[in-house]
Amino acid sequence: MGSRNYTITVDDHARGRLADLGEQLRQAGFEVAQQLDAIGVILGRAEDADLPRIRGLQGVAAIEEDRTIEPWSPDHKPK
Amino acid sequence: MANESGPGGAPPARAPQQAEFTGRYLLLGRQANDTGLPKTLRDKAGLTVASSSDFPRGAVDMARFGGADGVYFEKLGVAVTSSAPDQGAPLMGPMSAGDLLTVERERIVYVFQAPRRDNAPMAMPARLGEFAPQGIDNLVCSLAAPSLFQGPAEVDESARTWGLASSRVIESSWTGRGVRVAVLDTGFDLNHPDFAGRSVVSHSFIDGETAQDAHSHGTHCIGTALGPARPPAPPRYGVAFAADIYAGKVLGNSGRGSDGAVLAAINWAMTNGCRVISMSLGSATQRGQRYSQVFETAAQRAMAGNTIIIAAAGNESDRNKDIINPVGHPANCPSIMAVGAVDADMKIAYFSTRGMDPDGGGVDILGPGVNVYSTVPPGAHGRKNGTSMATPHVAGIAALYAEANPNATAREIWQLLVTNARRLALDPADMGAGFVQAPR
Repeated sequence: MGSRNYTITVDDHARGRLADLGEQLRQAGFEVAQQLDAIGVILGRAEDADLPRIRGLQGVAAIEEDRTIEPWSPDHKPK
Repeated sequence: MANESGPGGAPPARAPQQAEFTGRYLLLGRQANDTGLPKTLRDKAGLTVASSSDFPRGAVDMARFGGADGVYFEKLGVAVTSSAPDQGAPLMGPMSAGDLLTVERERIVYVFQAPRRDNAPMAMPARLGEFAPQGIDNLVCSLAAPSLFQGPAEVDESARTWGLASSRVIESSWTGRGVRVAVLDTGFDLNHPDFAGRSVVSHSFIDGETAQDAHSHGTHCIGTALGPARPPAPPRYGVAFAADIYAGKVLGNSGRGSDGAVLAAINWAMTNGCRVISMSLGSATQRGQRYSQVFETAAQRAMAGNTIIIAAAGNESDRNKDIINPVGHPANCPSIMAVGAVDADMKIAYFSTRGMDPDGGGVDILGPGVNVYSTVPPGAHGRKNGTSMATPHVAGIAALYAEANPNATAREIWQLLVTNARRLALDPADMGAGFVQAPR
């Protein structure tokens, strides 16, 4: 099974208990890398199989796979 | 006049099939900021015309013109006068073609809306003056486009870049002093001589790399947003020359990064009290693709924390081949200001993306993005193209507005940027509110 990087937005109610939610995420299989207090986001890594449990945790508003980002350079041409 | 406004000055109950008029006149001068036009109107037509800058915060009293016969909007080069209709024609008599481009009757304008079911009269806008300049601005563009707002026929960059001239940064009295601006990119040439003595806070969010820029994209963007008022050698190329620089490296020297690094850097910038975040980065989207909920929520929270995020709309179009693609991620989030690019002739850049998705994903504003001169490592200068280059122009100008309006919220800074933008003769889906303009 694949393991990928994810970004999680926590809902407004959970922003005040980011550490608690981080612990619940760890128990659900999410390897927490960073907790971003100012914007209420948690970064980390998870196995595909653990995603349903992670999504189901109270306080998780959205989870998205980490995208590759590049500068918008003149060399960046449409496919 | 058959087409005057309805009883009591109120417009009729439904949107008309034909244009209706207010009884006032729009006089389009030959150029903006023609300080001699009010005097010419007084001397030749007997009209006393107030200046829009005479009104506090530019909030013109459109109902009474402050007791004058009209008002002159310097930035637009347009005067609105209350001369009676039968004076309209004679007005052009004493005025020469050298004084005015044209005189038009002021139209009544309507919000596009579903047909009303009743015949009740519509109320006049409570604060007509707040809306009138926009209407006039659109009119000016429709009358004079594309010639009026084109850039200089020959671009003279001996003293300043075309981007600073066309966005009126050169005319601005604001510097960005006291405003913290974060540029999240490939880092910064920390030893660039043009920035000697400047306060720079830097941080790398890329494992194993310092904030020193070995790519050049980030140094170019920081130069545009925050470069000096008087670089060692002209031209001037930087907007907010007294703002505090926060350089966040979220793209490695290879030019690649990830959502996570960008989010971590947004969090860092907010924690450090940055009022403006500039992001000339992203990834391509497909038409119909929904924006990132994670970034949208982060941007809303940034906005609530008084930080505006400004991002490049993307270079995924190739209009020379009739390829037009939608605004990229994360600029397609509704709470992130998406910046498209124009060239010095105010033509849309061939690579600039378009607002194609109804649920967010629009272009919000335009900036200078073709043949842009700025700093590159090591200690040098160079030219680049891209919505990446347009974005730091807008971010730097946002810092000028933030300095000029120290108590303004991030949402109010957004409004100042879009309401002061100059409309161009372009597709609104490419243009958004128009071409960014600095506060005077």
